[in-house]
Amino acid sequence: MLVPTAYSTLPSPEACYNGVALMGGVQAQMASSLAQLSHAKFRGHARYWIGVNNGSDGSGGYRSAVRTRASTALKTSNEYTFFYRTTPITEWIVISLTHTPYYQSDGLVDVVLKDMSLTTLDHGIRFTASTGGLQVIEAGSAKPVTSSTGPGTPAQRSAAPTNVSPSITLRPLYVPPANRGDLLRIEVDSTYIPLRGLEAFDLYQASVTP
Amino acid sequence: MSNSYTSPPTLADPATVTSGQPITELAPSRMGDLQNYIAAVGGCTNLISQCWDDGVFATSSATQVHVLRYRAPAISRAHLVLKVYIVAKAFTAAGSIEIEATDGTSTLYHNVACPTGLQTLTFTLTFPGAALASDMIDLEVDIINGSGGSIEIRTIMTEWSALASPITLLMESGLLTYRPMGINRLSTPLPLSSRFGVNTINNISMMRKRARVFLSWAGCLNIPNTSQCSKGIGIGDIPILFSDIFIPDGVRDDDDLKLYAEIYVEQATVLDPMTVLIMGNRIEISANGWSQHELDLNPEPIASSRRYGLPMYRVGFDDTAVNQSNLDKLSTQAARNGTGAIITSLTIWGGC
Repeated sequence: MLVPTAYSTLPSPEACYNGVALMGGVQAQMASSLAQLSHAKFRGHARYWIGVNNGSDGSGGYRSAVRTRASTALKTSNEYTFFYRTTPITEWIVISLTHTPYYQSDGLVDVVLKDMSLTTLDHGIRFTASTGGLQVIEAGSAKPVTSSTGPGTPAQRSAAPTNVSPSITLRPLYVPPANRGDLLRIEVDSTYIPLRGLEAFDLYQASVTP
Repeated sequence: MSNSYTSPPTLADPATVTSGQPITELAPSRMGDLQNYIAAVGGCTNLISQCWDDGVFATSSATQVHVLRYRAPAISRAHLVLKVYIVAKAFTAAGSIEIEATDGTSTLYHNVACPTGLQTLTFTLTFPGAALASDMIDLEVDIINGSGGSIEIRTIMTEWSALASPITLLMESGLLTYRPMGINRLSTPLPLSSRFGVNTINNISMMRKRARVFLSWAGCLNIPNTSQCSKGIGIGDIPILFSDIFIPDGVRDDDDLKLYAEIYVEQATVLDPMTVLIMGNRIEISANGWSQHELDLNPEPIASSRRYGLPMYRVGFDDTAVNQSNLDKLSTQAARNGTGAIITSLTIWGGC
């Protein structure tokens, strides 16, 4: 069944009153609108802002975006846990990282999916500057950028991933059928990459089997 | 009669819901089941989500200290169970973290011990009765340190728990009421009633308005000025405090589908109000505390919409001179100095 993304105009309730001929289109619009709600509107989504060291000279967030590796206050590596509530129909989770662009080749970010008992569900992906997974720009700029797994290719999504360590070929994270609907942990290890935010959302699938 | 649902949900076969085809039993039955699923489960995803770097958000206060404040929408008044997950680390001595949640009538508390070392703490707050008292809740987080100890918070996430099948509570939201579908009445040989069609259309209209949180943020309160974390939103947050969110086409065409910003302002005065631009909406606040602001969906969809096959919008502060001037910054240090309006909590959500 095709899953619409838009809110179509609903038929008037009077179209279903007693004594009124019920048109086939009314039922089609109901089915389509319900699929839109369950499979488009109510997909999982989370946006994490990541608070960073603002130094000891103020408690405003004005320095959030201008920290670079040169800062002595910035650690070279960081570990993060992000909780993500999947829905019963979550299959692939897109990950987008907001980070300060880094201009050397040894920066990387590993993203792994685990359940709440820390069992690995998907060994995940590795964003690296050297292979193009991380956006990098000139050294002088510190304006944050976003690097994303993207939706992956149909070939990548045709089966559960089999990698046993984070893959440099980016793709969305895979949620096994037994864990769909569960609260999961997105575990992130970053090296030399100052993360400022993480966005995760269920990949929209335009067509599903009824 | 049972207002049950199937999870994962099943959809109506498109071949049976087209013009010219007879209405078979399976299509209305599945549509009824799906409505119950949407009403019970829809929107039970991340409500509040925020994270801090290692070592950034910590306090060694010797007394109980209130550190975070959030406001979030209910998804219906029948969703009564709020869950909070926190990753925290206690140093030197075990302490505890306390969550306080209120719907304006009932105030709930849940205190969970935080042993030393990195911990994942789970809090469950169940509002009493059959319905929430309002469509909005306030949430506060307190840290209680052990003697000589300190606690650091790394991650916080909040969600509403889905309702179990079958649905037993009257599900209201605002002035609207969800009409559950009695699945047994939608099976053969019972007649298909007019009520099914009317209720389905009304239920769909209601679920389109169900709240989704797009962006949540809270400043760290009652933390010494010498600490590393942010109390107020600063100009450095403009390019990072945003969310790229799916908003369906058709929202602009329906006056009942709206976006809102809940903003908590401190240190504002009539002569020194907080003026910000959020998605092209100019918001001026001269009163301290919470205020709600309706937002127009002014921006165009972002470029990655095509990549994901969805109309997606960037929700957050505009990178404009107004925000650069009025949000906290190095030259004013309003949060540190205690003068000048600052935003210490923000939730942007859509009833769409």
